[in-house]
Amino acid sequence: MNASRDGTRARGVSMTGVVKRFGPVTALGGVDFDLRPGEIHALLGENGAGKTTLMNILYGMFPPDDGTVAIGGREMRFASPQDAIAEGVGMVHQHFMLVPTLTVAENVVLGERGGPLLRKRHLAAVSKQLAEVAERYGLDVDPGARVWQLSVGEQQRVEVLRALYKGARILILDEPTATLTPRETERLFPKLRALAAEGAAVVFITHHLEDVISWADRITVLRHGERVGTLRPSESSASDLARMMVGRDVRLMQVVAGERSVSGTKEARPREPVLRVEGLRAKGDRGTPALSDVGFSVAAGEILAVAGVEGNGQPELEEVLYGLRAREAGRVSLDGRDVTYADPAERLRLGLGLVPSNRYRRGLIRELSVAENLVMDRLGAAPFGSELRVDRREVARQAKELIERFSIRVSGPDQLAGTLSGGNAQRLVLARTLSRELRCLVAAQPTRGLDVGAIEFVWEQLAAARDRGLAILLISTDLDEVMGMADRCCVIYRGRLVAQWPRDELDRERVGLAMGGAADRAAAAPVSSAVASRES
Amino acid sequence: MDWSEIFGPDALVVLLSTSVAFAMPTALAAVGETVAERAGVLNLGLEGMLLAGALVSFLVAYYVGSVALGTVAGVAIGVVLGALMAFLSVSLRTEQIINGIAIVLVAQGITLFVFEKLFGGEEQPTIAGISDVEVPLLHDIPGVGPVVFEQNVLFYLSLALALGVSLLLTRTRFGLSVRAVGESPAAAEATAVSVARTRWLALLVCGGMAGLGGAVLVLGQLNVFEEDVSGGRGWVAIALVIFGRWNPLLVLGGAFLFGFTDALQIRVQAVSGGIASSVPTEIFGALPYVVTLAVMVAATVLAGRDAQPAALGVPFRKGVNA
Repeated sequence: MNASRDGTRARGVSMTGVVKRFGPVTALGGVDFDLRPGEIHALLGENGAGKTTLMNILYGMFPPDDGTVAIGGREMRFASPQDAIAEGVGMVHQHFMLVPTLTVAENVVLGERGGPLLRKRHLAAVSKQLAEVAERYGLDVDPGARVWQLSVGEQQRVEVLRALYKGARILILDEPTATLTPRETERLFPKLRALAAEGAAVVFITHHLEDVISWADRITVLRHGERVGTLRPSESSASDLARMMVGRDVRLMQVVAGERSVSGTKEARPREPVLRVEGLRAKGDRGTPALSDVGFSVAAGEILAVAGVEGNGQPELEEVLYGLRAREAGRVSLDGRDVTYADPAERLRLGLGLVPSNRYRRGLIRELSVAENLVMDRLGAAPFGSELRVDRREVARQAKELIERFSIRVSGPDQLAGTLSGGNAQRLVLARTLSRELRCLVAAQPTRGLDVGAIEFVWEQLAAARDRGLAILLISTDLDEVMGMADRCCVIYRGRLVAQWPRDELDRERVGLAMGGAADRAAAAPVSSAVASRES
Repeated sequence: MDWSEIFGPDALVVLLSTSVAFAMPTALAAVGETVAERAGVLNLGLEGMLLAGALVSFLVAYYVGSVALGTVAGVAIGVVLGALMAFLSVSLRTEQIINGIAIVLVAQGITLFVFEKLFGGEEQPTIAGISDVEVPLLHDIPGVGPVVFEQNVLFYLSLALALGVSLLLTRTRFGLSVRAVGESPAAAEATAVSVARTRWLALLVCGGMAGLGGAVLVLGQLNVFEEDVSGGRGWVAIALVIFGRWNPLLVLGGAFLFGFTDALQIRVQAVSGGIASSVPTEIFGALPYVVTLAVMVAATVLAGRDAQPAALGVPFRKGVNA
């Protein structure tokens, strides 16, 4: 235990006039932020608003260019996170800082000062202490388990546990709910509440309005590196907060969903299935089963959502559908044509489009320009020249048009695609994909990591595409997105489709339960019969 | 051919004790390489480090007349080459594969040049061998005793170090850092483990072990230096690390298998009439490499789960890999 730290005394944080620049970019332009002991404080803002930067400064990752950080009234100058940890600051990063091949206890011991030998006795003592802290806060974690065996929710508890074990009284969580199931989210916050009740100060970074309104005591909204305001959830509505975040009115899901329900009634007659999948089985990268007996069909003009928590076979499904991963069994057909063995180029030609979940790896080529990325699936044929020649002028003309139509914010068509922000990268992918003649679109995690403005854009584009008669398969971990967009919804759990509902029977809680593996309690129609009845 | 001349009770003891002795240079290099690779650096310079250790230890022993100083010098040159590898791969973050191959090529060129310059045209220089020492009590253990505990001092030193460094990974804080840094450097760095420092140290250990391997080969076994004296043992060691699934004890097992087939093929050649035999000697010479690789490949195929350190071969830059 560090002598300079009083582990039990409650201390607040006061950051004043914090400025941080990265090269020419001002990430924080003089931000004030205060955090009181005993509260849960939400830090809300779009991507790039400076939330994580502000918290990284509090955690000692880098010093502010100007302004002060005080804890318990004393001004702090942290040279490294270790200094911050010694002052009782703990941070749970969005991407967990755990070594998957080590045990929970080894991860805690890692980096600790001490003699050269790593004694079994010491590890056992640490495990025991961890178990005690875990018990106290209800963070059930097995200290002897290897991290790679743990679920995302468990890994997050390990991170919280590690911070508490190291004496954190000021706990920062960066996007804690981004990868959790709704049930795990509901388990997390009461624990944070218990911590706060003991005098700890908890701050969490998010852009989910839902979490903020349900759980925060106070909310600080940042926009473009400035503080817009600090308020209480009782004083504000979701749309107020969204407006503060974005700086203008945002038409949220209700609007998109409302438009859709209109078109939904219009399109009540059954349509022919476009994409059909039967008995699909495939392995994951490590050779373990990733998909088993997956079957569904998507009709023209409908959105079938595949909901599920990350790591239940979604990337494999996406890849198999697009011909990027070998399947072991099963069939895929498009407009009645068997494409099980077709390569991606052929699927593309037959009208299958993909908005990949990893947009920087699969959606674009970072080293090529925006213009080249926009037309690369059509190069080698008219109107962009021939197989031997690229008509640069035509490429530039079309690119300009698409940039305008999809409001991609670029310095020009020659900007490298790898330098685009997440939202603009996704606009690029949508622009290329949706400007083709499509029959069916597979959209995998299309809004993951995007800010509100970009999310809104993606949803509008998907809804419009559906209304034009595309069959859309939406693979998503975001329950809001599923609830708002789906005409039908099924849930993928451990590589199987475990439940399915038509739109009018969609229930947030039941979908959430099924995502967490409790499909039987969610009491949904068995998937196979639902698919069969739809097809008959 | 009379197989009892090879596998008879007395002959078997000779065969096995030669096996473990022959295995030692490869074992040392392989254990060192395991440490480097678990830290996330693929050190392909191993063969060069082995060769440099062999030459430098031979020269010091030849001119100074001290096997002890020769051994120290062999380790030292290995550490220096390990430092070179660390500087290029960790500090400058240049391509590890190229760095390793460059070290091998440079070592091969320089050792040959120096040796030819000093002894070219002369009769092959030799140094006196060192005598075997029986370890009291231990050498009376039936079976193991005569095989393991009637060897020379360098053998004992090597055995202790090979086992010691194997335990380093699991039983020390440094070992824990090594495992963390090779698996997820960003997470390690976030918990106050310096990735650069850990990788540097791992490469120094690796270089030292390979240099010692070279010294043991020349001072403890052959008593001569010649062109390409390491004979690809460094490359075999790298293969052993991969097929031993980065587990130092499995890797050691592989090295002893290599030593055994090496000793066996020499014995078979001798018993069956050596050069006069109808089977070309090259076939025998290739045997240890072929058998070891075949067994280890089979083991890898059967083992299933991937054990390769996730960050192997990937340079780490703070804040970028995060």
